[in-house]
Amino acid sequence: MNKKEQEFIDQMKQESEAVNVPKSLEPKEIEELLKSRPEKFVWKRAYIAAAAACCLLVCGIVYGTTRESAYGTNVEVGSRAGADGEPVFRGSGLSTAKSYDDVYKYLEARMNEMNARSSAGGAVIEEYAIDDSADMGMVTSSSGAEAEGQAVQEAKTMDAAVPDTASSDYSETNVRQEGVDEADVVKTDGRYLYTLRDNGRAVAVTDTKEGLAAVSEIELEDSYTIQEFYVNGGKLVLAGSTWQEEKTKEGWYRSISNTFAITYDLSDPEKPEKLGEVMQSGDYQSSRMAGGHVYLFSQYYVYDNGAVTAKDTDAYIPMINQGLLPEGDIYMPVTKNAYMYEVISSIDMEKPDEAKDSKAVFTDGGELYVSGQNIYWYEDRSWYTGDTVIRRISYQDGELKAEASGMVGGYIHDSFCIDEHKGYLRVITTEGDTNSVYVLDEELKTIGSIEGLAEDERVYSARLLGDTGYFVTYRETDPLFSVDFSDPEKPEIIGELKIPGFSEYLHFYGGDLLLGIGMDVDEDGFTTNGVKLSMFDIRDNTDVKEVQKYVLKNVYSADVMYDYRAALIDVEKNIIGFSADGGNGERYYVFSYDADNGFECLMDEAVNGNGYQTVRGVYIDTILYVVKGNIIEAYSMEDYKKIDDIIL
Amino acid sequence: MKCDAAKFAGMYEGVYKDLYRFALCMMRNPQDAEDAVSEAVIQGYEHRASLRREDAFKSWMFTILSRVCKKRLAAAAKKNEMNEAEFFERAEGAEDRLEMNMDVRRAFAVLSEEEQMIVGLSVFGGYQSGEIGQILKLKSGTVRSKRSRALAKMSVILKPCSAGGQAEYY
Repeated sequence: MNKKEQEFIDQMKQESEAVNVPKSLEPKEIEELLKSRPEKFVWKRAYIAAAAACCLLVCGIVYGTTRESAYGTNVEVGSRAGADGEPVFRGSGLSTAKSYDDVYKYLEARMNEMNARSSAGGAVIEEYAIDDSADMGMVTSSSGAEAEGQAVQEAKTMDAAVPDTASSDYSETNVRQEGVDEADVVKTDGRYLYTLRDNGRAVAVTDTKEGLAAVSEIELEDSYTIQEFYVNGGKLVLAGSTWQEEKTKEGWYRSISNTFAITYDLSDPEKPEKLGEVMQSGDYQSSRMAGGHVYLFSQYYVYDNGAVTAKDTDAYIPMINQGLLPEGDIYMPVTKNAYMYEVISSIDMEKPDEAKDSKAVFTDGGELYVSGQNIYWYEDRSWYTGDTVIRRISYQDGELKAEASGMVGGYIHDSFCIDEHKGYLRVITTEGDTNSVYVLDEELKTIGSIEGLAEDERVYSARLLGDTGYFVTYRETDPLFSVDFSDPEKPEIIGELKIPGFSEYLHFYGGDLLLGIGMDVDEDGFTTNGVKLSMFDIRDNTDVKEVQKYVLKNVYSADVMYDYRAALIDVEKNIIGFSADGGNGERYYVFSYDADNGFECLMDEAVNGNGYQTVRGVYIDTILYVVKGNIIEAYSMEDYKKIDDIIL
Repeated sequence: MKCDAAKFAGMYEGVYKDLYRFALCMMRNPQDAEDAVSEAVIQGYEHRASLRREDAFKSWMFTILSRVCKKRLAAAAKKNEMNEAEFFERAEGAEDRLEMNMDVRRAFAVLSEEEQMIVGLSVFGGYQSGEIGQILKLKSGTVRSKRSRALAKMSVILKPCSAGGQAEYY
């Protein structure tokens, strides 16, 4: 944290010192309250088995046949030394478990180490794990989304399965990678609008043919929380998590989170029919759809408190549709700190009730970027070791296969900063006080790099296309760097433009222009003046210029800066749409761009609705629909006047 | 750790003001904040067996309180959804939140819930990004960048004393 940030935090602390705490919360009152309560014990959700240690010898695998673990070519990766001099990147990152006992022994060793640290007074924060309904209840749309990157948006070609009255001119979700669809909270097929209700339990279907008319609703049970969904190829796929509490035979409670993908047939959107459901362990993280398959990502935390025995496999091995994941599909960790799995399944849309393939990476957490061919799953270990481990998992036709792993220094800001092109992976990282650019080959070995860029600044946004990449770092001004990647072994900084403020989101706007959405910042480097649109001329990538800018004064945040799916950008239609928060509440803005006149604000209207879902704008033909949870408002794109609305 | 009501209240005494201030910024009105702290205290007390070290009490209580706030906010959102029919009439009143008497709370109101948690834990918990990451299950780098953005947003409402480019900072 820089000095100004710390001062600001101290200032807020000081200004709230005067707050009077209600009498009922004073320690004396609280003590009386606690004394008056009946004794009641609820145990941690960790699976607590009483006779723990005795069973260690009985750690046989209670699973049938051992699948051959023919995955991965086990590329060796150099290891960096940890603080204690011990190598922390153990193994290749591609070796799978030989048995469930491998996993169990790892967990046991980690637990022993943690206990040792804890009793030695180390800074281990006590694990608190009750009442996770709190987690489930809160379905913010931020999860996973912020970590994604480059967006491509184009009008969709008409799908055969879409009703014949549907328009072929409608917007699609702004995605990171062309050809790889992403789930969202609002979708359209050219006629119907599909919107996630505020309660996260239902998707409402609204017909737009003659005004707005609610026609159906797909609702799940209480324990299900839909995070987002797909409408693609005549099917609707709901993705999210379930939560339930289970009483074990010993009488303890443990809570279980599962991730679901439930598929419906949309031949008649007014009567969607369920086709199948796939469940896997863990909380929903993200998903993708490509080549007729859905790829489902969940994070399954192992709450091992030292009392789980080796034979309690269902307490520490991920499940896919009721079955334990075979050991040969579990990739072992590269750190000492693994306590969770990244569970990945592919689902063939023709067989939506089974997982075609599943893998789990045993890890301490990571993010993902999905290119046209591969899933790149990256683990930020910068906190411990200053580096990030990247695994490449190919996914063609739903077959998941870990192909390579590698490592770069620093951390990856978001999936904008990692990009595959012609078999090379280009990565932009922030490393300590500086920033770096790396080029990795197919084996994920670093073949080219630039290190030590922009000291004391960090990456805010990036965009790579073909042989050129652009990225923005920030401290007081906003240097926009241009990188030439045409020689993968010698990436080169070819341009650097300094302007005040920073861009949080970059989007190519036609061949010669790059749009930046971010904040305008005073020369003091701290006070923001509002949300800023910048247009950069990139015809000469060695001499990039900011040719136009527009500042939305008194507007302090736009959703698109956190989640690219919130952007409605269509270069052909020349519209830039997004919602933003400011002194006048939440508003939806639409801009057009003209080289001579710059940005023109076509629409600036209040968004109605106070629910939890973030705002989306989608268009069908010449009508723009602004959706926030249960409220849809329609605007004519001729004059951006409101023509209709509906409360679902 | 052996812990009865008196012992619990003793540990609580050291942190309750910050807990309440944090809740006040999260919940936006004093009654909800009071309820959230009470609930967190009761939950903490009932699960005190899982607290193994006294010096972890503060972060443990903040973890519980942040979950309670999340849960209550989500419940409030579900309730609000029922009243959405009135929303079009109330659209003009979108500035309700800004009437709050405290500048700090006004500045909090512009943040997303996650940002409120991060800034709240920085201000009232006095935590660094790594500890906040552990409480909220986020990477410390993520916490750092989210906190910077959040503070930048807040600076629009609540002018930092040092704003205005005073020379001594450079």
